[in-house]
This record gives sequence, structure tokens and C-alpha cells, in this order.
Amino acid sequence: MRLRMFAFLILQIIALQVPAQKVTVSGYISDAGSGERMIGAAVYEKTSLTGSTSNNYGFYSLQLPRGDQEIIVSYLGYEQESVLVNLTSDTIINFNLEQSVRELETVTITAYGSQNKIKSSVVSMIDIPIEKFRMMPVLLGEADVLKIIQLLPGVQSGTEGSAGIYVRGGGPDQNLFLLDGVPVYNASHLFGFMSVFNPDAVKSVQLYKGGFPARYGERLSSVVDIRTREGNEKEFHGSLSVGLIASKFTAEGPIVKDKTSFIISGRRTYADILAQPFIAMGNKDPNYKSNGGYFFYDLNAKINHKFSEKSRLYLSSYLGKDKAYLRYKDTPDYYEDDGHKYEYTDRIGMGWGNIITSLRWNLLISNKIFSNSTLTYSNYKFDVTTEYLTRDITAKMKYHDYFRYFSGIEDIGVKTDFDYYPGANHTVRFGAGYTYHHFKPGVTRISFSASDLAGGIDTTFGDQKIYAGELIAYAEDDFDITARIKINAGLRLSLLNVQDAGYLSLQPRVSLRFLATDDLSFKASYSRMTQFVHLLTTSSVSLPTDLWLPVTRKFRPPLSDQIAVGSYFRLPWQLDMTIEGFYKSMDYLIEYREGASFTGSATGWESKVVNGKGWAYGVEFLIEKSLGKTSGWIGYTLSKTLRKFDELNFGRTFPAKYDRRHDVSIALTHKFNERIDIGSVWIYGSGNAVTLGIMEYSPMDYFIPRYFRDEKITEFPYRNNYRAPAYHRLDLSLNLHKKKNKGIRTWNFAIYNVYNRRNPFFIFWDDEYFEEADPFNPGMTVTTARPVLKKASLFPIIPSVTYSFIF
Amino acid sequence: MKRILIFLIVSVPILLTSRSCIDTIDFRGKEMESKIVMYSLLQPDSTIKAFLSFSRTLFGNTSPQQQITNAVVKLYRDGEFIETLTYVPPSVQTWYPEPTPFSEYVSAGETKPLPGSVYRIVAEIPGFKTAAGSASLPGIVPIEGIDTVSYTRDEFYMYLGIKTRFTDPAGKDNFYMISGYQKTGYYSGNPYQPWNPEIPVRVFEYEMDINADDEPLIYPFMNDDIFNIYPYNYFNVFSDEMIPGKGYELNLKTDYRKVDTTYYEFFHPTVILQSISEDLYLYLLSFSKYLDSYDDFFSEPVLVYTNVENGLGVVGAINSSKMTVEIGKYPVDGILYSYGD
Repeated sequence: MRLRMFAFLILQIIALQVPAQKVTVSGYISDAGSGERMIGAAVYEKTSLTGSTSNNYGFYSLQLPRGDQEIIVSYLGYEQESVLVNLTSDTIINFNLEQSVRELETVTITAYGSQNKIKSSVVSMIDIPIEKFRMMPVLLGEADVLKIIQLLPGVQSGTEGSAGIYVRGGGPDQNLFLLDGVPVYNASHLFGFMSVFNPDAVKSVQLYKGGFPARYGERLSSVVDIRTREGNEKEFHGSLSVGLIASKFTAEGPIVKDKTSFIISGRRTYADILAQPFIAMGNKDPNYKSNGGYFFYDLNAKINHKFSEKSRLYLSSYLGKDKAYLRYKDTPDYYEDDGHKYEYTDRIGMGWGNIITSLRWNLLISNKIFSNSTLTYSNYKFDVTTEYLTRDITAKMKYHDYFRYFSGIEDIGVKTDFDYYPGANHTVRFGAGYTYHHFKPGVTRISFSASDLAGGIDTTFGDQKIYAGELIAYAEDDFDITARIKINAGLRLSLLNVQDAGYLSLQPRVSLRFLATDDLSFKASYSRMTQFVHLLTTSSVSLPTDLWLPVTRKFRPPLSDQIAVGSYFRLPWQLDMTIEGFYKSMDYLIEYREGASFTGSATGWESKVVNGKGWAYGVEFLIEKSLGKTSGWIGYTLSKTLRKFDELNFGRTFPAKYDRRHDVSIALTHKFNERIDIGSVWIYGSGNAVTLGIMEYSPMDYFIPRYFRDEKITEFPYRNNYRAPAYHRLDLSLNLHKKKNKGIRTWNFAIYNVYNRRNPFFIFWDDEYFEEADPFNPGMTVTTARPVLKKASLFPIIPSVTYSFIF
Repeated sequence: MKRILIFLIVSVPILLTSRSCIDTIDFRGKEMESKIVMYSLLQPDSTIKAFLSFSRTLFGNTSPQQQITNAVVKLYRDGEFIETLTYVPPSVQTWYPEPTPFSEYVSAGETKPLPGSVYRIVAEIPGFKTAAGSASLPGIVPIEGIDTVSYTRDEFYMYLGIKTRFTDPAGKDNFYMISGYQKTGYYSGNPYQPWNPEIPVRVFEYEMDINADDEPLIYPFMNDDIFNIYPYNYFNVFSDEMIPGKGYELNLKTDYRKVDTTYYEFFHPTVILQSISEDLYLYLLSFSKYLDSYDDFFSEPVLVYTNVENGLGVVGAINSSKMTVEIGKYPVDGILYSYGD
């Protein structure tokens, strides 16, 4: 009897999945002007609202009943397109959407498109509005993808100006940045103040904070999936931009019209060049010459070729480098104590950068199965060199000191993903991949030579290379259980083999959506995430010396379990609101031991760190307005993040460094007309937690080492006991566009930190000296030092101007 | 003019951002409360004492702390009140640059700690929360033997390797500290001349610098410490975590000036193996890390351990065993000795 019941149930479930008298409509959705494939465009049948969205390559597939059907496609900022077809068999329909000439306020909002977020089973995912990028005010006129992400609820910036992100209580190493599907290990330029993602080359950005689909993994807290543009396949276009600290260009166009196209985008800072006059002014002493500077450049290039409507190949590459250098030469005109005359030459250099390449092949196996196969290469290198050359002019001798430290990580990977559309509102995704990691955690070379010393010293140490193989496989199923309940369930398997240790991780993922009304849904998700790398850093600023290291026998792979629940609904005035609560636990986290100092060396790193766990929970509110002349969002996060390490804080729980109770961001843009638009951003965040002592006491004299007898012990009540002053600032921007003969020129005027808020970059004790009456000499005063707490802030009010021309 | 304008537009923001701004801020923390600081070390055959002071805000008065004469310091043994300790005014200062910050309270009944008992010291000072701490005497762990080997360093100095054997008592966690002192005697005359009995051998006695760099119990990270980045173990403390209940030989070193026994010179190093209470171990370990890192901008601040409830400091206990190695004889009848510097 039980067996019969079970068989009946199975048949019922299968029956639900089998489309009756249905045909498949599939194809690509592209920008009519450029041929660029559109990600996340809504496709649906008008009456039944059966629909889907295009995948990362613009492909969609729908199961619709035979007969007359009106299919509608919409995308924000584009004219809606509809087509009436009589479906008798599987059909391919490609859509080419025209950019809206009526602009945002009049774009028709379709039932499906506007409610995509409400109806989707995805939880805690935000599609970053790239089209609003250029209207937002930015630091020094440089738009930055990660700084826009920092404005979203659940995401925090680290310190003033930093482009690093901290998502739902996670650390900086818990975010996976994917550039065209390839992991980027160091996403920072300019010591963390800018990200490596050139907005001119970016097509779409999706941020996942929770409810992770099984196709994503390898980090605990977030995935930032960045897709670059493919290049206009119809005609040549380009842009030039000149800013205060950097200039950039983009060129794109067809190599073979409608078949092969390219895009290339590059930028370079020039503070080093602008600083040359000041350096020259400082070099008036003929015996002393110095020079120094810093610059970065990056280049994104992509080429794609369409073999047929079913087959397409992409080759994309990113190359970026930061370099800081300092040189000086001193030839004093006096003789040193030994009666000799010397010449001193010092050179210090530091460089770091990423090289990322992917070769991708899209193949439409059938109108229900789409495949994407990728070969990836990612390489991050850091290198610091110091060199001191002393020439004894009198004795004609030469002494040479050389120090070099370099580290890096290199990945080579292969991956295949499949999207299978078995029925209406039903998508199955599965895939597998393998990545070969090569860690070079830190190599130091020291050499010394002298012309009067035979041989000298030349030694290299720490040259330990670590190889690891990582295999992943996943499957996820996204389908409607009933008209109101939708589920995305999946499983991800990760296997790492490093040195002589192996780790297997099974990560279940599930997201559920209950559609209460067309304008209101409730969602819940659970996801387990793991990662096989650690980032060794002590600094709150992203430094190039931060080291990526693999998990080891002693330090197991960190893992997190996150539950997120939320409600998504529409408000009047075209407002969308999201409320989400989350609880995340994290295990096997690492932190530096108390007292362990940062040196940038990986040697013995396992001895410097300890294992522990963490928790984060909170609630996030997001009100968005995507349409109309005025658009933007208001985000608010109330959260708490804790850590517990047996060997830190005497085993007691303590707030994480980036535990931020309140986080508010308001980002608004307004378009007056075709020529003028403005943007504003206001952010507020509770102060970061720092360990700060205010009381001091004498140590036990029985145990004071003789050279510390004057020292006092500062009492730190507990780790991260003190809250730095709150962070807040207002930025404004004004864009003036003008149509010229050959394109559109834009002047961007921006003011960063309008009311000149001195936000804390770091906090420290300093001595303040004051006069007071001398108790032993009446009428006299003595100078006494008193400690005062000070904050160093980085960016005062900063105006900027940028000129750009798009042709 | 246009060029100047462009130059200014470009350079002013760069200059603005190239300098950081420093402001004084008000401390708005909750941790402004002054606490009693209490130190007490229980040692066999030593009268129980407590040393009191109090913590002060960094902003506050920087003048030397006054003696606390109105404290009530009570001593309990296994939960039973024994006596109230008596205040003893400070004696003449020796090395402190300022009057001692500690006020000494001593057992008038000359109570000495007994093995197996828990001693609790409770300090009450008007205006402060009552502070208390407990300790019990750990069992003595005898040094079973010392093997020495010397290495010549240069014409005058040598290294002395001191291998110190002991057995960790089984069945409980044990904590240790290694220290030592040395007594040496050097002939005051010319070592290149024949010995002159009229010229004394000068005798010095001082704390021995023990080098434990090669001892993994004391420096567990030494093998990968290329940059010497791990905290220095100032007090040579260690636990039995790696040697529970086992016999072990500590690998220690010290350096000393060569002695010539034909001139009645001698070198007598004494190694002290101190069995210490867990609280004292945690205090010394954290204090050592603190000393190593408190002025390092890049290191995480170290919280110094305390077992004093509502206060700071430590109430701990030590039980020591010693062993001396004698290189050369001292004293020798008929030899003239002089003492001190």
C-alpha cells in the first residue's frame, strides 16, 4: 500500500513537470544599437505571465502552449518589444531592444519586468544599476563599481575611501569577485582606494549576499559577478575621459559586422607625472636628487566571434598593475668621519597587479539546453624591492645591498555550465569545473656585495610553492511548485587537494518564494558556503602585501551557514521595498594572535594566527525607485557581528572589527533633461570597533624586566571595546551633457564630502603638552604631557572635474 | 592664465588629499572607572603579602600614586577568614624612578601558604569596588639533573649549554617558569702574571640571562621565525601541554666570561625551575606579549590577563626547585675574596 502511494506521488510530481502540448520559444535578447547581449531582460507571455529572464549570455527559453501567444520583452531603459506569434512547434525568436528615446520616466513598466524581483526565487541578490553609475558623485571623479556596492544594505566599506567591502559580518577575504567568471584575488588599485573594475568596460554587476544559488561558491559571504561588455558589433564607437587623477579610453566596434566584435578599455593615473614639477622644485641642491611617484594602469580587452546563432566564442582579458617607487641619490660635498667622500643611491620600488584571461564558448545544444565552457587564467603578483648602493669615491669602492620580496597566486581553470529549460518557469543549471592553484606565499632574496669582499652574500629563502587542485560540481533546480510557491534548490560539491590533505565539502542551498499577491512576496533561504583560501592581513586597508594562502591541515576550510528571510513588495509612487533579515554563523575563521605583528611574510604564518568562529545577524531595508526622473535608493542595515576565538580575548566573545550597528545610505539621481542631471549620496555608519585602552596601571615589580621598569600596562577591557566616531558624508555631482557633431561630451563636476566631515581613518593616542604650576617652585610653571585621543582623517572636502566624450 | 588655472584645478585636490588631517576627539568610552590593582605571590616559607595600587586614566593625574593606607585586606584560607593584613610603609627606594606605586600589606601573623590550600585575598578601598583574587601553591617539581657543555665564543667569553631535566607531574595541567642566578668570581690581578695571593678574587652575584631560543617549549615557533616576529618570552614561561606527565630535558644556554680555576676563579650558575599557578602563567604570558608589542603600530593590542575580580593584577603562586652547577670551587680557604662592583 505504501509503495503504491509513493509511486502515485512520484507520478504526480512528474506530471507537474511534464509540459502538456507545449512548445519551446528560445533565443537571444540584444541591444539593437550595439548587438550587445542583455543580461536579466524579462521575457514573458502576456496573458499567463509565464516568463523568464535572459541568462548571463542573453539567452532565454520559454515553454508556452501552442497557438497564438503574445511574447513581451522588457528591460530598464529600453523600449518594450512584443511579438504576436502562432506557436505550432519549437521556435527561435531573437529580440533586439531599442534604447528608450523617451527616457526613464515614460518607459512602460510591465507586470513581469517590474516584479521580477518579487517573483524571483533569488534571495539577497541585488542587480547594480550600471546605468546610474555615471550620475553618482564619486571620489576624485573616478566612478567605482565597488563604491556603489558599498552603498547597498548589508555591505560596508572598511575605512575612509577604501574600495573593500564587508558583507553581512564577513571579512574582506570572504568576497568572491568574478570578472567574466574568473576570480580576481586583489580587486584594489591605489592601496585599496579604487577597485580594478573599470566601469567603462562593465556591462552588469550582480551582488549576492545570501541565498546563494549552487552555481556560486568558494567564498563565505558574497559573490560579486561582474560581466564586461562585448563590444559593438554594428559600428565603431568610443569614449575618452580626462579626470583629475586618471584618464581613460574605450574603443569598440565590429571586426566583421554582426559576427566579430571587440572592445578595449584602458586607464592610467598620472599623479606621478603631475608631481614632477614639485619634485623638480625640491631638487635644487645639486648634490641631492630625488624622484618618486605612484601610478596604476589597467586594460580590459574582449573579442567575440559568432560562428552561428548557436555558437559563439569570447576571449577576454584584464591586465592591471600598480607601481610605487622612490629613488634618491645623495653626494654630500663633505667628507665623512673616516675622511672618505661617498655617494649614496637608494631605490625602493613596489609593484602589484593581476592578469586575468578567459576563453569562453557558448553553445546552444538545443533550444532547451545552453552550455558555456570556459578556460580561465588568473595571476596576482606582488613585488617589493629595496636597493642601497654606496660608492666610496675616495677609495673607489662599492657596496651594494639588495632586498626583494615577492609573492603571488596563480590559477588555471576549466569549467562547463549548462542551463536546461525543461518546462515553463523551470530552469535546471548544472556544471563542473577544476582549478589548479599555485600559491607563492612569499619569497625573500637578500644580497650584499662589496668590491673589497670576495663572493658576498646572495641568499633566497621562504621559496615554498604550494600547489592545490580544486574540483567543483553543482546542480540547481529552479521551478514553480505551485503558482505561488517557487523553489530554487541545489547542491554544490567542492573538493580540494592541497599538499597531502584533502577536503570535501557538500553545500546544500535552498531558496523558497511565496507569492502572496502580484505585488508582495515572502522569501526564505538557507545556504552553506565554504572557501579554501585564507587572506592573511592585519590591516583595515587593503594592502598589496595581503597574502592569499591555502587551507592546511591545521587550518581547515572556513564555512558559513546563512539563513535569510525577506519580504519584497511594491509601494505607491513606483517604489519597491525589500526587507530582509539574516543570521549567519561562520566557523574556522582565522585571525592574528594578539601581539603578532604584520610583516608581510608568509613564513610560519600558521603560528601567527588562531582559529575561531563568528556570527552575524541583522535586518536590512531597501527602498528603491528605478523609474522616473528621480531615481535611487535608501538603504538601512541594523546588524551585529561577533567573533569568538579560544586564544583571543581570553576566549570571550567580542565584536568584530567591522561590527556596525547602523548603516544608512541614500543615493539619489535626478535627470532634469537631456543636458543636465545631478546625483547625491549621503551615508552614515556607526563607528568601527577598535581596541583602545583608557586606563593604565603598574605591572608587578617582581616581574618587570629591567629595561621596562618605567612602563605601565594599558588596560584593554576587551578586544574591539571602543567605537570610533560615526562615519558620515555627503557627496554631490552635476553632469552637463552636450550633443556635438561626432558624439556627446560630458562635464562632470563633483564634490566629495561636501560638509568637510573629518571621518576617522584611524585612531591613536598622542601627547599634548601644556603648562601647569610647578608644585615645588611657587610662581614657576612646568611643561607636562597629557595623552589625548586623536583621529586621522584622510579626505576633506574634495572638488573634482572630469571631462568625457563619447562618440 | 588658462594654463595656470588648469594647473590649479588639477593640483589643489591632489595636494588636499595628499595630507591627512589630525583632530583631537573626546573619549566617549565606558571604561573610565578606576580599579584596584592587586599583586600577590604565594611562596612556601614566605609570609603572605599583597601589593595594592589602582589604575588611572591616561588623561588624569600623572603625579606619583600616593600610598593607600586605608585599605582593608582580608586573607582567607579554604574559605575561612584568617586575618586582616597590615599596612607596611615603603622602605627606601632603590631603582624606581619615582616612589613605588604599590602599598604593601603583610600578614602580621606571618602566615605562610600551605600546599593544598586555596588562599583568597580580598581588598577593600573606599571609593573602589572590592577586589579579590585566589591562588594555591603548586607542587614543587624537582630538577632531576643538569648537564652542561661549554662552547668558546671568543677569547674571553663562552656559551654554556645547560640541559635541565625534570619530570612533569601526571594527572593535571602544570605551568612553569625558568630563571636563574649566577655567582662568579674573577681574579682582580693580571691574568698574564703569576697568581698573587694578595690580590683578591672579586665575587659577583646576579640574575642569570637564560637564553631559551633553542627550547621549543619556551619558543614553540622558533623554527620558522626568520624575521624574529614572534613575541619574545621575557619570563621563560611554558606549560606542559607538549609533555604531559613526561620526563623532559630543557635546552637552555647562558653566556659567561671564561674562568681560570688556577687563579681560583669560579662560575656557579643556579637554575630555578618554578612551578607556577595557571593564573600567574597566563598573566606572565600575556604581559610578555604586551611588552613585545605595545609600541608596534601594526600589531593587535594584547590584553593582559588578570584573575582579580573587579580589579587588575594577579594573585599567583610559585614553588621553586633549584640546582647549581659549580665550575671552580668557592669559597676556598685562605683565598682573599672581595664582593660587589
